[in-house]
Amino acid sequence: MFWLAAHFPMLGFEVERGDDDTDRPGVLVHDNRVFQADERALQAGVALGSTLATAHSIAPELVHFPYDTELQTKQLEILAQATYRFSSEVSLAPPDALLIESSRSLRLFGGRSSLRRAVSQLYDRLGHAHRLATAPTPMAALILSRAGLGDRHGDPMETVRAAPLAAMDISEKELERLANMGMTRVGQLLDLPMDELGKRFNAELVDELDRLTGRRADPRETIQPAERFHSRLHLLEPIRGKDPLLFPMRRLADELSHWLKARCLGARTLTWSYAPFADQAVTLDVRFAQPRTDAKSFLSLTQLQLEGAELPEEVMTVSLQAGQITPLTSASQDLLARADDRGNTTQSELVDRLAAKLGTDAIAGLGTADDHRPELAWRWQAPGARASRPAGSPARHRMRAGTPAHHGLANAAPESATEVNRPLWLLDPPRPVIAKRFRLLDGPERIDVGWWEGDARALERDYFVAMAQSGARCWLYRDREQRWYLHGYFG
Amino acid sequence: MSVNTALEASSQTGIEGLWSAKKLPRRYVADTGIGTGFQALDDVLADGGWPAGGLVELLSEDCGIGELRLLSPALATMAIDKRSIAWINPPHLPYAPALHAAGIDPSSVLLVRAKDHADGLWAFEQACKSGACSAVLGWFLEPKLRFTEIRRLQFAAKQGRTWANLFRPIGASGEASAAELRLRLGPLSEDRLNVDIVKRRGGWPLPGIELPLESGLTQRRRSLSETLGRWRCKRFAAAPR
Repeated sequence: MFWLAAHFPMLGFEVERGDDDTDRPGVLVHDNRVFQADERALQAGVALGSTLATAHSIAPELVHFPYDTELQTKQLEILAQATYRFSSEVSLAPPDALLIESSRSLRLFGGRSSLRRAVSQLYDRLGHAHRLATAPTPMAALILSRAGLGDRHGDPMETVRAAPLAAMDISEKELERLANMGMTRVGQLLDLPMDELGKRFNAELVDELDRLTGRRADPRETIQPAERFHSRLHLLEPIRGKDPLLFPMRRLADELSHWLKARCLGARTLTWSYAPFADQAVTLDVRFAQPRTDAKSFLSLTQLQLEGAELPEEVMTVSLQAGQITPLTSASQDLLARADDRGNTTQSELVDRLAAKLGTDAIAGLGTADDHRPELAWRWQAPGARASRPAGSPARHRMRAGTPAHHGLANAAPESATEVNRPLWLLDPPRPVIAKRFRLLDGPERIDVGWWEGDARALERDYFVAMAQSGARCWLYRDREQRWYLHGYFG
Repeated sequence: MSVNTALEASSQTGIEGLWSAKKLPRRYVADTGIGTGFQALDDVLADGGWPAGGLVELLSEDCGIGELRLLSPALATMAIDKRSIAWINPPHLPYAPALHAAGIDPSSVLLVRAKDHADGLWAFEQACKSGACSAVLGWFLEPKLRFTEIRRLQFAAKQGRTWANLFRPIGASGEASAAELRLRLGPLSEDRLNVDIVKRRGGWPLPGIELPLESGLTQRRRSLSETLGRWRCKRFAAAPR
């Protein structure tokens, strides 16, 4: 077993302080006493545990924040989710530490020290002070990291003996009792006979010591990875212009792509957000026709949309959030479409690209609907959304031209649309015309439907095929009031 | 040695890389085109049909004279593979039931309405290049369309091996164009279309090709009269009994 413990000594303070980046010293206050203090406050002479009034008198410009357990726990969970990439066994050690069992990921990350370095880099990037420690048992790793002894060489089980008792999960009262007995280090406690210790103190202390040494199993509840993705990058220097922004964006897109691939998921929407130093962030939504996983298409589609977007002059933080995450199924991949050698883009990729540049409402697909009213016999639908092969497909065409043996089959499919003549162009809305200018060729075809849906949706029309003077073949109708309208061209 | 004799000599000895129209391999080329569905037109086109990778200009005065019915047989055959047909800025709404009746799957339609000229051109180019479309149909504002832009569209169609169609008014037939095939369309009678080839690969301009247009109207009339006739026959046959 290889346990890596990460202790965040300033977690509460960092959560409260957030992005507020003034020069003033700050402290976290719990129960009216200084609980955590930043470097400036410590330099000014503020001592941990002193009252808030004392701290203020030492450093008048001091800012203080209340200690909020809930926020801190939330942040710890976020950190745990971020740590999940290193191991599938990450557990919380509230209030301010994480435990990672990583014996099975060591080879992947190239050994203990490089794994430790990678974890440390992650927390650095997220902006959290941390102390790491490794040990064969979770308790030992936790105590070492809390005591800040993680960097010492040698057997961790030996090093842990030097850790102060305060690093253990022991109540204040018992700590005081132990201190009165002259016990301040973990090693001193371990040297005592356990039976005696159990009699004088409670069984929990013995239990904890047993777990520390590994005499007793110490199962930990591991976290479940969240099924959503939200990652952000704080830039060291503000970025001006869109091209340099691509570098942090590529990193986020890669991160998302790995996250999705590891879970066999695909994202249908991305939300990028670009935050300047102090102002409101600008967000950019990118939508895909099909769930996607590859960073390349994330970026290329975002880039198209980015061209037309207004960004803050100086971007300090870039964040990426994935939405509408769906499991990838074999049906949603265009494997066969790709096998075509004509181009290297599939239909959904084209739709995405067009939608990203022109806007989603500039793209549409068509479908038929079952209605006798010409205006309602069609509908908009998402481009590329295919129903099963309709009866009007070439398969039927071949039948019609084919042998009479197929006749029965061809007749079996009800073909309402082919029986009557419909124009390839529809005018929406119909245009009022003067009938004299047209030569009527065929008609009338009476369409009198919809009366059951009320007057507004009822139709009573006589349709005619007519020839205009220009030679265009038109589809005209005469309504109940004998007015003539042009409703389409035969194209 | 004059240029002509040099050319003669080269065509006889067969210098590599020198292309002459005479050597156009009819048989091979005929396979690469997309059958138009009109024998009279297939016979005179270089590829034996619409170019599988190239820009076609369709010049017509008015919308509705049969420009879509000219394309629809080929569009219907293209609907077999599941790629889309991109319609960039169509002047009216393509009517789904009619497409369905013509054998074109309405769900293969990808309708693009671009805000301005440049966006429209971009969408046309993307649709051509991507290879995700079996055909691309485009309408643009004529005064804004420049020679270089058409050349670019032709290049994109070639690159993506896409059959691209550009609809232009008849007035543009006098201008030079980079399109591979240019056809001038005019109405003859109610179900006939006159096609003049303004420009084609491997041949001279050829005016006056008459095409019968597939028309639901005449068929319907025919079937109606047939049914009526049959019905009458039956009645008269049954009457004496």
